[in-house]
Amino acid sequence: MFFLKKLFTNHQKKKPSEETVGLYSSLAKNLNYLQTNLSHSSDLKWEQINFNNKKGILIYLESVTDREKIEKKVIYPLHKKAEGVIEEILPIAQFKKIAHLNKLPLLLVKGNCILILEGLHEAYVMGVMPSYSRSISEPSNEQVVRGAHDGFIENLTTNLYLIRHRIESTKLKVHYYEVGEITKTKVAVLYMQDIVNPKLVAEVDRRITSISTDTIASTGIIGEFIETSPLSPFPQILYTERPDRTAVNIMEGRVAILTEGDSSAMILPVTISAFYQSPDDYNSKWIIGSFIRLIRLASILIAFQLPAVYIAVVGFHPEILPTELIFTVQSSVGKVPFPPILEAILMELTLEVIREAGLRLPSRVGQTIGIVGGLVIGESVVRAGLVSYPMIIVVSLTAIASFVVPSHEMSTAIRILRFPLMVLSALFGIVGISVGLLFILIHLCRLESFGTPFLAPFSPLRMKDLKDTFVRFPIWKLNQRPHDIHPQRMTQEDYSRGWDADGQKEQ
Amino acid sequence: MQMVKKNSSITQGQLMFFILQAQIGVGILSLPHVLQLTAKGGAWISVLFAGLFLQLVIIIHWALCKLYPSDNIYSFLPKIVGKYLGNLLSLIYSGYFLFTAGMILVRLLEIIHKWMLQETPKWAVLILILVLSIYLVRENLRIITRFFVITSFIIVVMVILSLVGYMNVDFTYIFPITEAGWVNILKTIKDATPAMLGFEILLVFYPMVEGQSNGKLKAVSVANLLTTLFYTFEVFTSLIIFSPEELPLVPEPMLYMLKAFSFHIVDRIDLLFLALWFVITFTSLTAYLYAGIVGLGQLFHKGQHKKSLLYVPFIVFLISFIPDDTFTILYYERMISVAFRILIIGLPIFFLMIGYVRKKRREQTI
Repeated sequence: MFFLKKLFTNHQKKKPSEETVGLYSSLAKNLNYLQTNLSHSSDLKWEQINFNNKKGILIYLESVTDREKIEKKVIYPLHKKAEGVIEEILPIAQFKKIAHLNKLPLLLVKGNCILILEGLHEAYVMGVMPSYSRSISEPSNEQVVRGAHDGFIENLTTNLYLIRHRIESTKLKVHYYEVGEITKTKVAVLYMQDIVNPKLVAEVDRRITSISTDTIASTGIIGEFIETSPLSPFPQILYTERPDRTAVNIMEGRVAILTEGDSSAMILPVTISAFYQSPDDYNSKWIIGSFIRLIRLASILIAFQLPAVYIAVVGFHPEILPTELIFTVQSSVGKVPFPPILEAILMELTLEVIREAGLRLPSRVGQTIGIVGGLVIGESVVRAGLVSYPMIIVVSLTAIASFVVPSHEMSTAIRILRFPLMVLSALFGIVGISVGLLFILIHLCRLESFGTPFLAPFSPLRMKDLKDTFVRFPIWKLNQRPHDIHPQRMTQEDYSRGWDADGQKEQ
Repeated sequence: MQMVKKNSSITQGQLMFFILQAQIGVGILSLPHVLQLTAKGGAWISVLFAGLFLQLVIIIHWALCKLYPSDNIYSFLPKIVGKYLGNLLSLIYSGYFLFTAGMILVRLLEIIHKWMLQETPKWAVLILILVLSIYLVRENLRIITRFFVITSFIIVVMVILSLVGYMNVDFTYIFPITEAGWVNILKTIKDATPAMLGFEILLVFYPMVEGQSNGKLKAVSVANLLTTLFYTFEVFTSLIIFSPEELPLVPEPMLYMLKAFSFHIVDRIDLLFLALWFVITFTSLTAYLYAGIVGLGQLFHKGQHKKSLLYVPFIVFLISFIPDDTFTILYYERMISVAFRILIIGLPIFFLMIGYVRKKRREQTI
């Protein structure tokens, strides 16, 4: 056991901190140092500059700086004045003086240009980052019918703007972290200072600072590092590309985490109901929103259980069906040489393959795959007598239902858990399904997302919070924030309909 | 004292659900049949009386727990009757809980075999259910209670399903109510109580519940009241659906009743009812199992109940695998009812008296 443990555990060692190096008085030596420390990269450029009758050198990485900005804001003013105090001459906001040579390479990589004057022991660091980013567009996998149509992009500053723009409050706090020993990825943690539970912020801080890795490639990687139960198939963090959804969740007292270079935000802690809700529910009237939410819930149940129930009914308890239906089903099922479980697994896997193939291919070819896979295979497989018609119906219903789940992570979890349920129902019929569902339910009861029970508000039960779960009550009835995250202020709305004399009596 | 961990305590509302789920269980299917044999049309009154009687027992248990507010039965028994006898009694109580869990499993398997899986071997179903219950009972009380709370909605669904039966009832079946005589109605209490067991788990979980002792009594009493009402409702429904001649012939009246009704898509709602009943029975099973292994954990593993799961499943497997015929099952039932009289009614009164005297004496010396 010990040996096995040793095989799989990581050995963590902290690197010793670097020694500080002061600036050399010779320009060539300084340049040489920087070149060596930047691996003699070809995009490192430098220019001679004379100022205050001293020789100087302006160094920058052309790939991460804006050449035009350097010309306009650094070189041109320096040439024009030729003498004076540098801080007063240069019209640049991000301006620093650094005395340590060893800090400079990293600053260069971050998009600064550096001015070193001969004989001075401080270098001038000026931020001249370019701003390239794609335009703000609606995220394709989280579209809504009505409401805001903007989405996060790969630029952190823009993303923060999108949220600040929605919550114009002085209490919205952004906390930056640098994660990744080498990539130094900028991570922003956002929350409302006067609403959020301070314990939650402390916990998020503790988990983020404990991340020790070379690279942070995406938000999902951070999610995997800080999730409470990474072994569970269920997502405990909500990923969204919608600024409006993020803003609403921040206002409920949750914490949002954004990463530089990634267009999705993490929202935590979340409970199970967040995964079948969509901003659409709040954009339409509450009756319609509730109806659609119920439809979505029903679809989740179908995607989850329909194949298993079908297998149990056909294999164990055909008497559940009314007599006329039994004949219809039996006449088709009887011709198939395989047991229902094999049939089901075969078709479900085919469907997963078609789905994945359609996803990877360009959209035009993807349609062809849909037609070939769905229509041709579906039809001929029954004609050939390999699979029964009811099975095709069950599988397609399951597939369509699984597309309804608004969260991609939840949808995958459901698709995977379908298979063990099918096996259990093939072995034990309805008892097997009950046992399988209980297994999942027990697992959900154990799950916690940053100290919040995943099944809240169903269990632990809190009646007031049930208003916004299965159905959505009218907004003016949702006076309190969800209790499960323990916000500092509970009230989020009251007396909005105070103008209505009758409504006032009710309140 | 060492048992009360902060993250495993439950609230009084949760205690209510816990006791409710422990009480409502395997007995529901056959209760009307059993009671009607002796009490005839007054069977539903017997259930009410049984609930009243159990309320008295609950008060005794509560008073006993109140004497030692931070101890459960396994830690206050040694304080009452001395270390060795106390530990021995703890082991017996622990064994009682495990045995009851085994008994619930026996009945569960019997019904599953009879109604759903005629050809599946018994051991396979047994192992499946045991694995599932181990998965739950290795957690702490708070998580188990969360599971119990969320599955409580099933009781409501069961009531709604039973309402289906009211499409075809005859109220004259229960008259005359006192056909069997008050003596028989009162006698039937002893047949009704086994189905309503589960409240005695309070002895184990009392210190883990937050709040004042009065609130705890209220929570348990509410649970007992709801159980009594639910059972009364089910028994009453069966009594007015089946005629007095018919009922002795059907061992599981609720299922036979539902089997007779047909909907357009689902022809056999009794199977749906059984699937729900399975969950309710599973909760009673795990409640007892957990109460048992908490005792073993305290006696042998320094409070770590998980460790006893290395051998407890085998014991429970043996307990529930052995009985094969109705005689053994009846023998088991008799053992349980004897154990009930001694361990749940007799001894607690005795302990209460000793504990009370001790407390008085302690107060006098101070």
